[in-house]
Amino acid sequence: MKCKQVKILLADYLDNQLSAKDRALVKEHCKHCSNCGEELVFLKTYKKEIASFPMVQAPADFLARLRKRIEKPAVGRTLIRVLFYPLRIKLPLEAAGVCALALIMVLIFNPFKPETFEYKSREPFSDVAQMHDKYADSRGVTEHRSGTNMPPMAAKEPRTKLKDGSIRSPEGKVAAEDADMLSGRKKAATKERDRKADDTPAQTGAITLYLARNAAPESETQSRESMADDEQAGQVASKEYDKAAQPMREEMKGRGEKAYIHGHEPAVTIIEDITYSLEGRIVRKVYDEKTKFYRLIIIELPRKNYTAFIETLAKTWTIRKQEPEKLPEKPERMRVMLNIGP
Amino acid sequence: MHKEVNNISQSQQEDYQLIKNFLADDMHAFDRLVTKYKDIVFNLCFRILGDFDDADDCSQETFIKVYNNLKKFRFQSSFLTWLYRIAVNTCRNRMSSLYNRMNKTFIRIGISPDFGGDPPDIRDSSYDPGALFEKNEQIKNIHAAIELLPENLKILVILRDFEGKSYDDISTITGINLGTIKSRLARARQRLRENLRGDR
Repeated sequence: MKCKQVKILLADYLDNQLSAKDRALVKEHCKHCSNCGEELVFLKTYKKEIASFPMVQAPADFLARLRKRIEKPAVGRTLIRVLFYPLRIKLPLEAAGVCALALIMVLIFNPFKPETFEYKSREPFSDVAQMHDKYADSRGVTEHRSGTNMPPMAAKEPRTKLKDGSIRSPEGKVAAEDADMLSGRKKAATKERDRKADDTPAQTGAITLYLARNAAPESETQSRESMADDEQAGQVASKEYDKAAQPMREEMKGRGEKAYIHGHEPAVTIIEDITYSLEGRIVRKVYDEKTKFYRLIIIELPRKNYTAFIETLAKTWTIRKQEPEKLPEKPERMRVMLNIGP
Repeated sequence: MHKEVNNISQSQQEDYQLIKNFLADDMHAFDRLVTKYKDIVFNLCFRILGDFDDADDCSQETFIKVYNNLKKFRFQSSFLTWLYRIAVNTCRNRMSSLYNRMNKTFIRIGISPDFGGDPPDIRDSSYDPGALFEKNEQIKNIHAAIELLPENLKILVILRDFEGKSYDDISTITGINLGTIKSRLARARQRLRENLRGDR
């Protein structure tokens, strides 16, 4: 028999409540095991001393006080019973505390508040800005306005919308969309208004010309075809164009007019040259990502110079159609929408 | 032995009759029950709690519970065992109450050896339980050693060694099974022995 078992049986051994067999085993174990033997001696002494423990008696007025408490229950306890034990449903103070805390949290943070602030934060221009973005995305079109000083090749790069909502500009700068959001929306709205104004000929007295490119000089065509994938193709083409356009420039200089030389897109640059030479300006250029060419150019120039513009333009472009055929009488500065076909 | 069983049975029958009388709106029957068992209950509460005032309050509370719940008594077990069960649970609640824990902590700080000298008597000195053990130093040591036991072991030791309850009764009173009671009692005595050695 192990000591652990013997120690459990020792009390019963002293009370004579063990079977004869167990009693003999415990007695035999205690003879050989000093630890269990000491335990047995301790228990014997302990039992004797406990027997002489004095009995404590209840106070003499115990019953009288008890009757008072029974007849007149404590106000506090009654209150607690009324508050927390109605209909015998046990509602501990902890649960009440949790409920109170939850209520306070709801009052402070108010998660169920209707989200009116979202509607308030929407600016009247936001819808216009979204429409503008959708329009640009769906058409695959990048717009460049005059006065941005953006070189044509760089201007070909489309704006990239990042995952975080920011927009990467062609120069690679990342602008957070939410920074200065209001001014951005206003700009978008202004653009939209300008676009509407530009696109309505009746208001501006504009004329629409449908153009097709004339056959390019032989050298330009060759260089374009052979070096289509070359990064330097634009520069080479520009040099070739410069050679081709040289006689026209000389002619303009002879008339005392200033000849402008722009970027790398010869066929378009010549339109710019003509426009600037005739006291005009470029209002907007629309670049088509699919055809990799400008689809629409809007210019503005004095009405008196329109005939000269058409004559000069006809040297490098084929004018297929003009709408309306008759020039409007007003205003003095007119707009010409150049629709460039393949 | 046979005479003792007869006495117990007679006492039990008397209890049953008093309870029936009480349930028939006889308030004197309840008074007789209280008078009969008040010392036993008070003594049990005093041994468990170790404080006269707490024992007084707890034993009063025990009888109030009896008064309120006597109509639920099913006459299937001994009234005394039922009374013990209520008293032990009341004492357990008192020991686990915040007030009691704070009080105990305060007293333990007071008797810390760092302070030196005798612990200050911060309890009501109208009834000094320490005076009970003045005659016998060994009894005083045993009482101190029992006070150091954890609550679950202390209740078992008191019920078994002081009140002389059987393992079955202890099981009924505490709701602990027999095997656990025996092993816990062995562990409690081992601890008592260690505590007493430390005193010596």
